[in-house]
Amino acid sequence: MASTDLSRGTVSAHDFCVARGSAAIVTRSRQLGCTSIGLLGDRGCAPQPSGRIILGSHRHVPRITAGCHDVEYPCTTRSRGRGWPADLGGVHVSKFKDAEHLIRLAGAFVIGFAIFLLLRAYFVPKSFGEYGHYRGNALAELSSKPISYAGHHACEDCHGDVLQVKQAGKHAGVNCEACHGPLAKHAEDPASVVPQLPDTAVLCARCHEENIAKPKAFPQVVSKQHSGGEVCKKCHVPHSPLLQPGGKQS
Amino acid sequence: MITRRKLLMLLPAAAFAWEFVLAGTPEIAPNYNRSEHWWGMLLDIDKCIGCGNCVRACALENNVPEGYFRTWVERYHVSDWHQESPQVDSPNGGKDGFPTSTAVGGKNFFVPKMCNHCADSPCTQVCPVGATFHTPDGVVLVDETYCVGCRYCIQACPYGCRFLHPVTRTAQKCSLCYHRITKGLTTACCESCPTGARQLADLKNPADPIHEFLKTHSVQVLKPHLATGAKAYYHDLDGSVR
Amino acid sequence: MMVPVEGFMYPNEVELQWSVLIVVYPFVTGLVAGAFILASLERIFHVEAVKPTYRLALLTALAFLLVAPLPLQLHLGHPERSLEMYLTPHRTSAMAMFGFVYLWYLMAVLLLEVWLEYRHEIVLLSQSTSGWKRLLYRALTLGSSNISEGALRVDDRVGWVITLIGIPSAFLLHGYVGFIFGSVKANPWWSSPLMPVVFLFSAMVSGIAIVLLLYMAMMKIRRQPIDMRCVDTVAQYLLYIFIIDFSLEMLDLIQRIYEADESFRSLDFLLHTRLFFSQIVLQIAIGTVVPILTLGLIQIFHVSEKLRRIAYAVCGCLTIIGIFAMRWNVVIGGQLFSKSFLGYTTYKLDLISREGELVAAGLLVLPFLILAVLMKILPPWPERQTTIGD
Repeated sequence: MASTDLSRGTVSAHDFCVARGSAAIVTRSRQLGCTSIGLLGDRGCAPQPSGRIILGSHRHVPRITAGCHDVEYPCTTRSRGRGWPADLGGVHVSKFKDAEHLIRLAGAFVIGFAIFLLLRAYFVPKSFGEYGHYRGNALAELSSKPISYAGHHACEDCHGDVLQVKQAGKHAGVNCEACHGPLAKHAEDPASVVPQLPDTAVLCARCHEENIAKPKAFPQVVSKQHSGGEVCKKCHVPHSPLLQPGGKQS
Repeated sequence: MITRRKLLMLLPAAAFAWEFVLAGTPEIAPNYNRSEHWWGMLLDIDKCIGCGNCVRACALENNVPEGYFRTWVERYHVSDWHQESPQVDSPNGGKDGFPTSTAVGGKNFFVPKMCNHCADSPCTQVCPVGATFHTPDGVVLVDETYCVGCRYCIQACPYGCRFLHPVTRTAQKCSLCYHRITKGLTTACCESCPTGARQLADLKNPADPIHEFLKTHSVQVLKPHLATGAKAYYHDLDGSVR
Repeated sequence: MMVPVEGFMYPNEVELQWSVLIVVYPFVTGLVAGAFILASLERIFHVEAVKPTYRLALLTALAFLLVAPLPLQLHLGHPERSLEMYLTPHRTSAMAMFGFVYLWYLMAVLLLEVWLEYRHEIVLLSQSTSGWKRLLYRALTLGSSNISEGALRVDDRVGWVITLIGIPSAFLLHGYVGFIFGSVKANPWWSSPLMPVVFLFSAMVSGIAIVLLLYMAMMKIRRQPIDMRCVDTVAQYLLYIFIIDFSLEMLDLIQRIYEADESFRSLDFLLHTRLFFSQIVLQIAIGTVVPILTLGLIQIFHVSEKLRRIAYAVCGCLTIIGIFAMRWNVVIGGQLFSKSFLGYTTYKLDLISREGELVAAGLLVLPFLILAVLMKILPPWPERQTTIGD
């Protein structure tokens, strides 16, 4: 049985396989501060007397070619795990530069970066950055959404008569759609949408129902006291509220 | 003679134009020059009656989902001199108006709130992808096809005017009715305001009456200490307003 | 949408935007940074005693780092557009810049360091295993099987430089998360220059604690003796950094109370009501004071090995809970009060939804599963030495 007593500075193992084909795992144990050597087994090896470690050659480890020499590898306890002596005595150092793997890694990074640039060229919208850090086309898209409220000028184009009544009264500053709702579709094609007249019982109260937070000067009433539940249109002309239905000024 | 090629070119153009015909709207006003405008808004507390027209109009104009608000109205009650602890309510954002107040005495008023279209907006600063931005004419907009829905902008807005649209799962907020103001119309909220408490302001146009008003009257912005460059100017804003 | 609201909140504020997933995310990146700092203690500062945890710390950091983007992706309204953050990053946005910090840390620091540390074993294993494992290891060698003395020395040197760069990178990785919160001037619970520093130190605490717990757990599972000198040293460092972390948090609290600015009354109320359990009880009392006192007492009085082990395990667990509570209190707590300072809302945490409890729990368990896989592929401790006869 093998025992690996690394703390003593040498590895003493009893059974080693020197036949060809055995592979050694040499683990730099940074935790333990020295090199540990363990062996992978191979079939049909003859055990050798203890005392020395023989690093056999292995066909799958072409770069570390240690010949079948009896070489002792004392375990050192240098803190960074540098268990190997400088001279490997018989091991042929590979022809590859020692940083070859890092160069391959750098290559992988370069490829990754190239892929990133490709993605960028393909996916970033063409108009991006036109006016600032955003998609330039968004401006046109957001400007061209359909409208719902026509604006009072559109109403007044056709309903000049109402405008006259309104302008003479207190609701001069109240736009048509404030009460009649959005009517851009009606403005575009009057026949397509017939506007519903709003229910004055609900509509007028929204503005004129008394509330302590409304400006004091604003005309407001407690509708129960004011009209006793009667609908507003009974006494007021909505377009000019001080006018009574029938034309009389109240 | 109409060739197949010509037809293929005409069809998308026709489809595009047809959409406008159906919606009842002209195309982008050809004479709108972005660099000639710098948009803001005047909100006159003296005139707001809390009718909620603006909230409803905005919701209709911009398809705002129920429970979320691009604009809303708050009602304040400040008793005596307690400037630091007003009582505020905003039932459903003021969309259905306000119920009769139970408050007695003190100062009571309505405050309409909206996106302030800040000149140094923290929301555009934090957007990681460039989905929200300033237009050259001073409006802060959201490109909903580009927004990833990270909600950093919603966190960064000090005024609480942004929300995540539950269906599109992108950030949304008041767009100052950009699709209207670029056609020479006013915003939906201003159009429907019966008292002129809300008025669109073109800060670059000296002929704009609001432009003059801002120069000659006492106006405030919300949270000035945060230096956001807010362009929603309030007239007669009480110190208790948050 | 019917969420209980107390007082007044801006209508759009009632619903919380950043959910429990955004609590999990800084927690996970914090563990990454902390575990890496512990690893660097050995590599750069030559604290020999903690060597047994070196590889474990690296693998832990990697496992958590791989999981870190998941809560973010699940949280996004449009995760399919998330590549935009890399393709058109907005340079003024901390979140956009963080994407690159994360990428840097993953590719140029952690993966590289793990690779260099394990390259020797990888090469050997690529030659000695068979089947899919062989393919895996061969892929990991990047085609180079040079494990000569010179190559290993190069690896060591480069690894040292990477760890050196890795320390500020780890600080940046998690400090950035703190910065994302700390730079939001709209939110006074978050807005503070101390935020990145507090986040970083609490990250270090959590990272050290998790490696301590994992080390002890792994030794128990492998039925190997726990290196007491190692865990004693790790616990010592945990104590030191905990003291700094606690001091910073208390400084923040005391300064807030003393200055009592506009937001103070609202935040104070929040702390005494909605956040009382998670902040005062979980984060401060159980999660910080108890571990500090316990670890401190162990430094002063002689305590038996067995008792120390139990104490470390308990303190480790309490620490992890406390740090998670801290993330919760910052992220969720910061959204529970109104920016008008006049009201409070409630966080509705679903059980089963994209941003619900189950998903959060799953994301917290996943790194351990990944770690188990990593430990199988890249064993942190040398296997018991055997010969052919065994």
